[in-house]
Amino acid sequence: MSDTATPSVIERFETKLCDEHAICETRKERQGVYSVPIAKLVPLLRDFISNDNARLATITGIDVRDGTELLYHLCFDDHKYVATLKVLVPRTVDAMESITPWLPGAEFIEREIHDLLGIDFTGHPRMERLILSDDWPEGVYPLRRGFKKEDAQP
Amino acid sequence: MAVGKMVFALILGSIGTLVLGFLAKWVDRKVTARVQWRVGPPWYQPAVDCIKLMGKETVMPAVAQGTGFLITPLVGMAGACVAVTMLWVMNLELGVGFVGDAIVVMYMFAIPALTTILGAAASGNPHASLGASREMKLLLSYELPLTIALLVAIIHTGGSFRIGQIVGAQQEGSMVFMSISGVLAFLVALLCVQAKLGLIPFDMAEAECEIMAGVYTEYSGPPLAVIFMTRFMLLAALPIFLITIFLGGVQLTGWPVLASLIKFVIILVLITLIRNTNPRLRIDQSLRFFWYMLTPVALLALGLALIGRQYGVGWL
Amino acid sequence: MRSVSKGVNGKRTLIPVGPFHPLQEEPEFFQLWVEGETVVDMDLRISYNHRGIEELSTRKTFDQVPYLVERVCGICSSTHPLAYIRAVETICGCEVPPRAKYQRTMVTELERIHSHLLWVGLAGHFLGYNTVFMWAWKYREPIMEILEKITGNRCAYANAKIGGVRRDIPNELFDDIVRAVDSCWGPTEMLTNAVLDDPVLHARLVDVATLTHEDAIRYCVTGPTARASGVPIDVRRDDPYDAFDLVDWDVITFPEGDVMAKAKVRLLETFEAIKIVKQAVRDCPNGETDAGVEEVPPGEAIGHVEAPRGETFHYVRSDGGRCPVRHKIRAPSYVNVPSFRASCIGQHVADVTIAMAAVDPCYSCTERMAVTKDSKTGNELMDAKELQELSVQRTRWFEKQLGIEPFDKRWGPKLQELLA
Repeated sequence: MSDTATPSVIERFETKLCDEHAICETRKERQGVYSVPIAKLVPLLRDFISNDNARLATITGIDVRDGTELLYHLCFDDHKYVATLKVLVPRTVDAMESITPWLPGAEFIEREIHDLLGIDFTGHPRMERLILSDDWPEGVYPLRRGFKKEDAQP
Repeated sequence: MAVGKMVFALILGSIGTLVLGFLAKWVDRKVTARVQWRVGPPWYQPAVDCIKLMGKETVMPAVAQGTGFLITPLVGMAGACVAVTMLWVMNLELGVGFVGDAIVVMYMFAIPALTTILGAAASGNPHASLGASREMKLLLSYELPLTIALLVAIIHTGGSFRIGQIVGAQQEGSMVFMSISGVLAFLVALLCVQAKLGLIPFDMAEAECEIMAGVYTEYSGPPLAVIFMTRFMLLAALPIFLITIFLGGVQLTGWPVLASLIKFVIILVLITLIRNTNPRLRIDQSLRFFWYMLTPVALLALGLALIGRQYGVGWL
Repeated sequence: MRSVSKGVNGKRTLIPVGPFHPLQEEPEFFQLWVEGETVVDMDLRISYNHRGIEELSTRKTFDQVPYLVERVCGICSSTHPLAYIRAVETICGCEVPPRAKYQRTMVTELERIHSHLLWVGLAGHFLGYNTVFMWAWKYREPIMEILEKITGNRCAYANAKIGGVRRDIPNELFDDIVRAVDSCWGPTEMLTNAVLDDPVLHARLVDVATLTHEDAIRYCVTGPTARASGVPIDVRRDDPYDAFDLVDWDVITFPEGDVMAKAKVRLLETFEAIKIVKQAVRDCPNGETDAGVEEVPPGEAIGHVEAPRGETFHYVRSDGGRCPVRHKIRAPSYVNVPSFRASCIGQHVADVTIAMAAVDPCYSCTERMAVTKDSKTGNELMDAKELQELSVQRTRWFEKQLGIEPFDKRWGPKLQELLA
């Protein structure tokens, strides 16, 4: 790997993130994972996407012990850097503010996570089935850990 | 003509054209295949396609208007049969025919398109209805330049609407094609024939990748075979129509047989090449093409022909 | 069972494009609401063929996953493993030997050439221009053949592994690679000229289904779709991997955003890909091809590469065990296809079909479980064992047909050796 990401830019991102009580979990040459408090995530995303020319690559959902982790992958194409912002959605909540109203590219990504992991994105214009078929039983999410094939019988 | 002779001519003309149509379709497919570096089918392929379809089940869509859906292909085929029979008879026996038979032939050639529209509308399929609306617009767009092109030939051959006289005048004098206005009119008519045959770039009524098979989406089994055979007949008949009007007619005796055959094959290959070297136009674009480009060209040819006739200049 | 969203008023007609439609070889369902010939609203249903690859991947060992993910898509079958491998290599922090880097570059770029030519052919077919379809696919064949020669397969190459490449491409084959890409240059030039000059193609492609620069950013599109709308992003340059920062090439961008611009981007990119392959062959050093990665430490990382259709994005999390804990795959079409809402509404039906094809949608990108069940009893008809049995039978049949020695005879002793 020849050139690394522009350091000053990363410093700026990190200052911005630290101001919002984000914790840097891992930092590699050209990518980093930051844990962000759930309330701060959407304003931060909006700031990065509209001011820093960041591009949302995708959102990864992971079913962990206490809830669901959502990882927002942001590509800073101009600075050769990929930042992953991580939030934990507690099992008791299972909902997250949708970013689709101002970023239409996230529509399908959020619908997929809704289908597979059961996170409800509040404010999403059409939170309908996308991946699962219409006769799939309610409340059964195939990417959750407790999922059994038998549960999926319509 | 006696009724018996007419029936005989109808059967013979239709079957003859159908056989010629199978061969014409094969030429079309073979040339297409060679252009695309493929091998292409054997000569009997179009015929066995139809025979196979005849043995297949006819699937009726639940929402279709049964009678209209099934009868229209037959009516279309009947129209094509009458048109080709008239064409053959008037080519081979110049004396028969009646005043204005060229107009009747034009009408008969429009019947397959009209029945296609009705059949598609009766099938109740959204793709077919979209195809039907396109077919209708297409019919409206090419009929005008085609009629004007026909008028050019009529002016050249003495102003009679009788096919027999159009052919006769050309065989005695020179072909309509041997003049500037004749060439222009022939080219306009060729493109109109391309649209009449529903071939690329004017196949938007059955645009495969857009609306599946368009007007023919719901057809299957024998009705589809009838549609195919009608189209094969038209593929043979419309080049003959062009030869009749612009290239001195078809003769089946002596050396002129060979000349007629060469003319036929050249027009057929020309149509095939046009369809293989162009993408499909959009319906509004083809409408604009026929009305704003071909119609003025046809009118120019008409003007030239009138001037030539007025001042006795043959080459105009 | 799939529901169809309801039309707003009675004047609209639903034109279904899919789940089975000649426009697409794969099952997905575009619902076009039309008034006359104009599309007024669109919706999309996917996943008729969901394969659950992300879940399957967490049951394979780190070394087996590339074999699985290259089956996400046959056309992008070198980029999916590569994106995964980049992620795992970042977790391990290993350095790939230069020879392996150059060889990976060759395979991905050869893949890009054949993929772009495939698209040109398909785009021609969608416009009813079947001659272009047949010609483009004919010219693509030498590339497929050379790929078979150097990797052993026309697609699903299995050439990359964590820390290097699985099989070295011998230096003797380098000349063949150059010959194959050279044979592609002329035809691609001819196709480019044909597209640029043909007035009828211009009428069908220029100013059709324009995706504006702003919409391209709002819909987060990637790859040629973004570059044709004037968004100059290319992972090969923005986050260089393998040998892409060591060879000389250009990112092709056009500002128009219409279908024509997408065609131009792909055609000109084919030339760049040919240039890259030739440089990679020229510069490829001798030496090791494998860094010898033994185990994957705990950690998480992303890996992304530029597939022919855009950015392929993988996320891998490891807990230090044998298998990934989570493996997220985001294929380029998943972000490119939804942009139809910005580009296609208000267009003619005829234009929408070519516009949908213009993002080069790869439905296997968006579909990642298929189980065949008897509709009466509900029993599964085919399991993995039966399928393997069938494929073994097929191989035997081919061997017999072609008069080749059976697989066991050819490779048996070598396998024994390797296992020992």
